[in-house]
Amino acid sequence: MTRPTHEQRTPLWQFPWGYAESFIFGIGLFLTGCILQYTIGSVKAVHYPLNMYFMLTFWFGLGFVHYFAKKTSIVKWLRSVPLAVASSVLVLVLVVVMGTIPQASYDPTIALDPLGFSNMTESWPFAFVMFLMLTNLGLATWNRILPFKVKNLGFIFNHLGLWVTVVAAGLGSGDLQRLSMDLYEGKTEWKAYDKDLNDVELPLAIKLNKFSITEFPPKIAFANRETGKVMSKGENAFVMIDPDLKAYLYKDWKVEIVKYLYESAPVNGIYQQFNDDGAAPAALIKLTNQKTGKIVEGWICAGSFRFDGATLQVDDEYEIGILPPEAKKFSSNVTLYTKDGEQKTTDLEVNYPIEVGGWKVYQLSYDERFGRWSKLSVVELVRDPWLPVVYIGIFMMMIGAAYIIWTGQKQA
Amino acid sequence: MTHFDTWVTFPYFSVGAIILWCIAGFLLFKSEKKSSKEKIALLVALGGVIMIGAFITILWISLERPPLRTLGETRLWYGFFLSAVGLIAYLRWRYKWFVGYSLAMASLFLLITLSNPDTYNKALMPALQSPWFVPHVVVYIFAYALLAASSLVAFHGLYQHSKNQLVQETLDMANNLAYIGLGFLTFGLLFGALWAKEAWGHYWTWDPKETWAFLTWLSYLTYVHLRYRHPDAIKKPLWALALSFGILLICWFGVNYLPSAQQSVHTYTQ
Repeated sequence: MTRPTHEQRTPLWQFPWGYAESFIFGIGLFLTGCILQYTIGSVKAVHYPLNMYFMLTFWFGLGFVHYFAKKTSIVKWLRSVPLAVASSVLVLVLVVVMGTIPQASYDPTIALDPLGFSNMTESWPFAFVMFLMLTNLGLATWNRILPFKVKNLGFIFNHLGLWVTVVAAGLGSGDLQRLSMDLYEGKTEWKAYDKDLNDVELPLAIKLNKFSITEFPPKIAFANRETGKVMSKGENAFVMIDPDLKAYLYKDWKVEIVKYLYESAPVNGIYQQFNDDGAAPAALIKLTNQKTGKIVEGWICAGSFRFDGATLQVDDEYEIGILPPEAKKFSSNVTLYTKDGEQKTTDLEVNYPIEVGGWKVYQLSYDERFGRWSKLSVVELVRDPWLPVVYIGIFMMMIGAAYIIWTGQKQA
Repeated sequence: MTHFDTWVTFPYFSVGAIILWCIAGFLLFKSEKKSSKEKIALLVALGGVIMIGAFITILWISLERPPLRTLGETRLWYGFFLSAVGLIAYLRWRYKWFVGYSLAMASLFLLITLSNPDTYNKALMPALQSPWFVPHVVVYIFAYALLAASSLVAFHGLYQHSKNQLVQETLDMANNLAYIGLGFLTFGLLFGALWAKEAWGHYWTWDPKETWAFLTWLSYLTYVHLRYRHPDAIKKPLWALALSFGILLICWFGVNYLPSAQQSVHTYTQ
C-alpha cells in the first residue's frame, strides 16, 4: 500500500525549501562554526547585562521578523518542520560526539582539540547549530502566539518553555559563579576558590563547628587472590554486617561471624575495642566448606588511614575481607556570618543546600582518606541569578508535557 | 526479613508471574472479543502484574530504600510497567498481539534478572537520598516502557507494511504511545534537572548519562515532528521511531561502555 505525500519535490534552492536545503544550510553553518573555532578558539561567555540584552533582542527580533515578514518564503522556511528536523538532527549528531568523547568542561585536564569537540558546549559549531535551532523554534512559537488562539496553548507552553530554558541556561551561564570552600573544624573561612584554584573573597564567612558522617554497616566480600577483584555477582556476594548477622552462605562456604567490633585496632594480630580516630571495623570469622569440611578461621578488618586492613585466605583462589564502610549521610554543622552582621547556625547536608546572601551553599565532599575521621568539609557555593528564568522555562515545559500526555497524538 | 531473604524468594514471584502471563496469553488468543474467556485471561495477566508489584513492595521494605538503584532493580520496574501498559493498552485498543509482545518483553526482563542476579547492595549514596529520587526514576522507567511499546508497534507496522496489510490503527497506536512516552520522558528529564539543582547546585552538567538522555529526548522529538509534517507517511517515521529506541537503549545500558563513562555519576555499578 502506498500513499501520496504532501511534499512536491522542487529543484534545489527553489522555494519552498525542504529537507535538503535545511540540511545543507545547517551543515554550512556548522562548517562556518568550525572555521571560527579553529581561528579564534572557544566561545567567550557574556555577562550581565549584555546577555539579558541578547536574549531580549533575540526574542523580540524574531517577533519583529514574524510580524512583518511571516508570509515571505524565507520566514516560512525558517519556522518550518523540515528545518526543525534538520537542526534537531544536527544538534543530535553534535551531542552524540559530546556524549562519546570525554569533555573538558567536566575534566579540565583534557586537552582541547582544534575544532572544540572536546569542549562542545563552548564551541562555535555547537553555538551556530543551536542558534539555527532556536531561530526555528522561536519563529514557530511566534507563529502560534500571533494571532493567539486558545487551542495553541499546549504548543506554546512546549515550544516557548524549551526556548526560554535553553536560551536562559546558555546565556546565563556567563553569570554563574561556582566556588569551593575548604572548611576545617573550629576555623572560620571567608575565602573560596574557583575551578582554576584562584582565591575569591566572599561577602560571607563560614565556620565549621563539626563535621560528621554516619556510615552503612560495612560489607564482607570475597575477592580473587590473583587479581584482587572483589566478587560482586551472585547471592550473598556482599553481606552487610548487621548486628543480628550470625552466619550466611556464599557458594560452598558457610561464613560465621564469631565476633564483630565496629571500632577496633590490632594489637599483635588480635583486634580489640579502640575508640580513637582511625578505628576500623573488624570481625573474627569462621569459614566452613560445605563440601570438603575444610575450616578457616581468623580476623578480617577494613583498615583505616591509621593501619592496613586484613584479609583471610580462604583457598587457592579466594580471600575474604571487609570493604570500607560507605557513607550513609554526611553533614556539617556550620555557622554563617554575613557582612551586615547576620549570623546563623545550621546543618548542611547533601540534597539540602542553604541559602545565604544570594548564594546557595552545598555540602560537597570531605577528605575521603580519613573517612568519618575527616576534619575537612568541602562545601560548594553557587550564585546563579538566571535560575528563576530557567525555572520559568522548565515549568512551562512541564505544563506542555502534561498537555501531551493528556491529549496524545491528537494535538497534531 | 532481610533483603537477602527477599531476593531468595524472587524465583517464585518471577516464575509465577511468567506462568500466569503464558496462560493469559494462550487464553486471550483463543478467546472472542468481550467473552468471559477474555475476561479471565485479563484477570490472570493482572495477577502476574500484581505479583511483580508485590515483590517490588516487599523488596522496597526490606531494602529500606526504593529498589531503583541497580540495573537488576530497574528491570523489575520495567517488567511491571511493560506488562501493565500492555494490559491498559489492550483495554483501550483491543490488540491481542500487543499484549503478547508486552508480556513477552516483561517476561524477558524478569528472566534476565533471574539468570543474572545483581549485587544485593543495600547502601544508597547520600546524593540519592532525596525526595526527587523516586519520581525521577519511576517516571523515566514508565516513559521507557511506553516508548519500548511504541517501537514494538512500529516494528509490527513495518511488518504489516511489508505484507501490504498495514492498518491505520497501528500507526495511530505507535503515535499515541510515542507522544505519551515523550511526555513522561520530558517529566523525567525535568525532574532530574530540578533534583540535580538541589543536590549538586547544577540542573544540567552534561554528564554522559544526561547527554544521552537528551539525545533520546531529541530523537523522539524529531519523530514527533516528522509525524506531524507527514501524517500519512509510513516507512520513514516508523524507522525513525525504531531508531530512537536504539538511542534509548544506549542511554540505558550502553553509556557504561562509552569512553566518556568515567565522567558519569549515573553508572549503575559499584
